[in-house]
Amino acid sequence: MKTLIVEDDSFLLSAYRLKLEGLGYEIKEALDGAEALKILEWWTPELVILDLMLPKMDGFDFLTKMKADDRWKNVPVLVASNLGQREDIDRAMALGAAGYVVKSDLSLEDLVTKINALLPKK
Amino acid sequence: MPRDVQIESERARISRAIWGVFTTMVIMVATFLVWRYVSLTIEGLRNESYENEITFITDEVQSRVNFMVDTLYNLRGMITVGDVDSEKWRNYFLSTAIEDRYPDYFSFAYVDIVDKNEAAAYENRIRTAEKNNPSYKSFFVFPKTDNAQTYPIRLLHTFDQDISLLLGYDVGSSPAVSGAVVESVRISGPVMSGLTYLKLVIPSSDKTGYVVAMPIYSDVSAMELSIDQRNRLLTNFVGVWIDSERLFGDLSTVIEDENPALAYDVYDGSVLISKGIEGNQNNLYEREVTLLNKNFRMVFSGRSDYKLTFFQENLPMFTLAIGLVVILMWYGTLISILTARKRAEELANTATKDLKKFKMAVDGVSDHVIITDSDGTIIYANKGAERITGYSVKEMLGKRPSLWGGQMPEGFYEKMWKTIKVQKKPFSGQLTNKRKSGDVYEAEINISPILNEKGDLIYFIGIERDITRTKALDRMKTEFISLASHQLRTPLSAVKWFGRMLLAGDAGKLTKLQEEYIDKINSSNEREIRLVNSLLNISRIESGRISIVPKPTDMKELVENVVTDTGISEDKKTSEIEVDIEEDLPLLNIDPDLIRHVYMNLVTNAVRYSGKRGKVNVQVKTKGRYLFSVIEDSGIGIPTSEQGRIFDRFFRAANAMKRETEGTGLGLYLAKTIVESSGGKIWFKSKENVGTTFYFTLPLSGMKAKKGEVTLAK
Repeated sequence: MKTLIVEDDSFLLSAYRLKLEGLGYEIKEALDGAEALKILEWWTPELVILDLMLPKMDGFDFLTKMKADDRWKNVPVLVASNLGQREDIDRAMALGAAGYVVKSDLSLEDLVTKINALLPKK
Repeated sequence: MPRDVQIESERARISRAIWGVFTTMVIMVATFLVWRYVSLTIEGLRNESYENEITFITDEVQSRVNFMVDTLYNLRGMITVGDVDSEKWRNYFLSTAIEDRYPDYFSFAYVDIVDKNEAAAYENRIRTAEKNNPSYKSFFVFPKTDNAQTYPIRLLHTFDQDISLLLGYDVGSSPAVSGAVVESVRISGPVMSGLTYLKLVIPSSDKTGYVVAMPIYSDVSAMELSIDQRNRLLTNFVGVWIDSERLFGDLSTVIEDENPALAYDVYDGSVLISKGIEGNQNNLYEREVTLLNKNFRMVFSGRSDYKLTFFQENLPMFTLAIGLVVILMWYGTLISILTARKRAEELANTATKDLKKFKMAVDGVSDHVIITDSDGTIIYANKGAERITGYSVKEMLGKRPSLWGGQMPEGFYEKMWKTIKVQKKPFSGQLTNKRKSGDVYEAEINISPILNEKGDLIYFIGIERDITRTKALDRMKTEFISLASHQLRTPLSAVKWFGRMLLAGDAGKLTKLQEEYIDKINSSNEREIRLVNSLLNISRIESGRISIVPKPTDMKELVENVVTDTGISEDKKTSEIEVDIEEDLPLLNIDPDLIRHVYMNLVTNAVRYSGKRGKVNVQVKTKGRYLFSVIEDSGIGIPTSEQGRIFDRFFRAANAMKRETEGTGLGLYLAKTIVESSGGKIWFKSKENVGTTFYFTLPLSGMKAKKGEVTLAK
């Protein structure tokens, strides 16, 4: 599955890579929203895993721009952030996120379970 | 006080003082006039009583003489009808009351007319005829004169020793008397002589008086005859000696009033015949009194010891005293009026000072304060308004607050006007305004309509606070919490993810020991995550910016979920959790996230500190106006010495720390904070090694919504 991971923390990125590539995901990585938008221009994923606190362009901005573009607005976005306040959650969901997880609350296995629940059954 | 106000009040004070002096003088003059009038009236009363007394005295003298004259006429009548002797004479006087009325005033005499050559025979005849009367033993006529006729007194009625010696006296020998006799014959009526001195006849006597002579005729019809024919019928005279001292003296004693007003002197021509006035007297009144044919002059003088009634006598004094009292009272009133004014002035000054103080205070406060009329036109603006809006007071006066407003949607202003102008209620809110420089700022406003007694709008008072900085600070705080949660949690997440991957065998199979170590790393990491979550929650609650979002909540479902979650995460550490929830609990309007946190903390603690065979009992029921929750365990309990501190932040009981290393010391603190900010109470009972029971209440009326910027971390 083609997955775009937008995450600025290299440890977490490597964890995503290890786990998801191990599960057969095709992964592209972006360190912030701006970079992710550039990737979208030439590579359309089936899923975006999006952190919110990012340098340059944060996750909310990225989500806004992405959902405003007909080419990608239907790509499901799972927000995986450490911002746990209801405002953040509500805001992300309102912007069109398909799901929201607080990273420190679950393991990557739980995250994969969540992804599988999120995606339409093939 | 400003100088012009001072001058004004100085002038007012002077004019009031002049007014006070003037009114006092008016009262004094009025008092004087009344006093004068009363004095004159009293003087008039005195004069009136003088006049009355003069009339009384002159009338009395007149009536004495009249009485005497009446007596003379009566005697003539008696004598004309028949001859008299001394007995008949005496009887006559006994029949009159003359001695009772006028003792010693009058002495009456019966006078014969005797030819000179018959004098001796006459004396003998009288002695014989009156032989029974001892007075007549040696009756003779005296003095012996050469006159052809003598006029001896044959009968006398007197109580005067001196006069009694005059029996037989020839009245014709006295020139004064004979004048009266001649005149009386001429008018055939009583005539009074001139002043007569008794000592000319009786040298031992000092008495003076008057003789009245009246002719007696042999026929009662003699009066109608000519003077010559009448004289032929003349037989006798009756006469009176009037003691002048008695006639005029002592008149005041007959006045019944014991307080004679007057003293008087009586003059016969220039001769003083009766003296009553002592010393020099003013207020002299003269009266002419005519007695028979003779004029007397009476001079009256007010007696110095004469008194009107006490009231009359003292009325002028009373008047003065009353006037004085009135003046004093007026003076007192005046002083109280003046001091009252002064006090009012002082009050006004104080009030002015207070007003000034208020103005200075309002001028000086850091908030923007404006006062507008009921149409919103600015009539006052303070320095804070100048500083915040950037417009000068001069620029703001007469304009409307839209000068710096107008940045909000139209509906906002409509709602505001409706509240303050139509509903006449205060309006509070936050809005965006624009400074003169063009900068936009955020403000908190509070507009109060000011009504008069009738409830009409007269002013609006607008207070505006520039909250741009506060807002920025709040945003920074929120950002800080976001940043902190992100920055603290991200490395913990990495540890967690790698740890779990290791345990899951993603990096190859682990030995038992490796697995055990990784497990410990994971547990420690989990604890760190919980600690971070708690710290974030506490910083949100303590910053007061936590939102309370109440919604109708099924408490049974909430509690059961908590119990289930606890049972799973605590991995069967407890054998039994008993749940007893009242059936048909109403939906409670609470913030489920917050309240769930409370149950979660209390149930987790109960499970954690109960041990493997422990029992946990959770009860939820209504009690009065509250939802009452009980979480009971049969665990290690809380040592008595530490029970006072268990709700403290970061506090953990010693026995709990020994048994369980994972607690953060924040759970009970958070629970208490949430319960209390929801209007409830939390407390507990505990005995070491027996168990602990926590109780808490929540109002059935639910929690009040509070708009904050944060919620609890999940």
